[in-house]
Amino acid sequence: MRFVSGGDGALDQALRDLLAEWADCEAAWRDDARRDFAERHLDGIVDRAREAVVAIKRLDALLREGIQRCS
Amino acid sequence: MSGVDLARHDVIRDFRAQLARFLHAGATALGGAGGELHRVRDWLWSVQRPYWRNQLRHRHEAYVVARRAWLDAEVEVRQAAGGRGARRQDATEERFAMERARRARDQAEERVATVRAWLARLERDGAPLAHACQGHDLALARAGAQALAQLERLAAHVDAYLALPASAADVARAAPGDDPDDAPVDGRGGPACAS
Repeated sequence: MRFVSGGDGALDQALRDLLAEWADCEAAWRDDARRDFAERHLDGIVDRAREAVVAIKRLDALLREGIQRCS
Repeated sequence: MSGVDLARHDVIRDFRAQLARFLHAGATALGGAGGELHRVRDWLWSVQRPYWRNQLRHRHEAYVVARRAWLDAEVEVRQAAGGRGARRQDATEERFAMERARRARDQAEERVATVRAWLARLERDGAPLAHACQGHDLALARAGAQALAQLERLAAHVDAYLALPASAADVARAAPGDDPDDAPVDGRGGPACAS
């Protein structure tokens, strides 16, 4: 039986992909609007996503341990 | 927005698409966290807990039977030694069987306690984490929607600029001090422009 979907890994990977795309974007989009977008929107999203990855990893680890100990 | 400096005219929309994919993955992962906690808790409560309680009852009964058999065997050994009953050397086999049954019962007892402890732990540690995931989910959805809207506005601005006649774009282009030789290419094959 499978209870834990591995969402922590999916979110982590999605964040890595987003940051990689942003690095490409930075090279191709070089005006003030890009910096303004990063400061007003993206930085907050990335910070929040990193916190979310930590939380979901901790929850996933907890659930996996519980399943393993109680099986 | 005061200027546009893009090496590719679709860079903003490409990033917007990636951001949308990220937000979808985030919503799926974070939105499912509470459900995963609920499923594990439900499995512990309604499957593992009754299973191990049932096992404990059966194994305790088996231990009681094994212990009785060992005690009976011990009596037989003593009687045989006194010459009053059938000949019996020892009760080792019954003792081993009783010890096996006791270990099995103790294991079930431990599992019952473990399941109980984990139900409490999931409530204590898991529920706040699931709640945090839910908060992150909502915050990302809100911030993500604003970011997507802003990227759409920026992309529309670029589209509008690229739709300008070349002469108008030239007037709108390039802040003072720009080096034309170093200028990137915009969507029409010309240098990227300020607007």
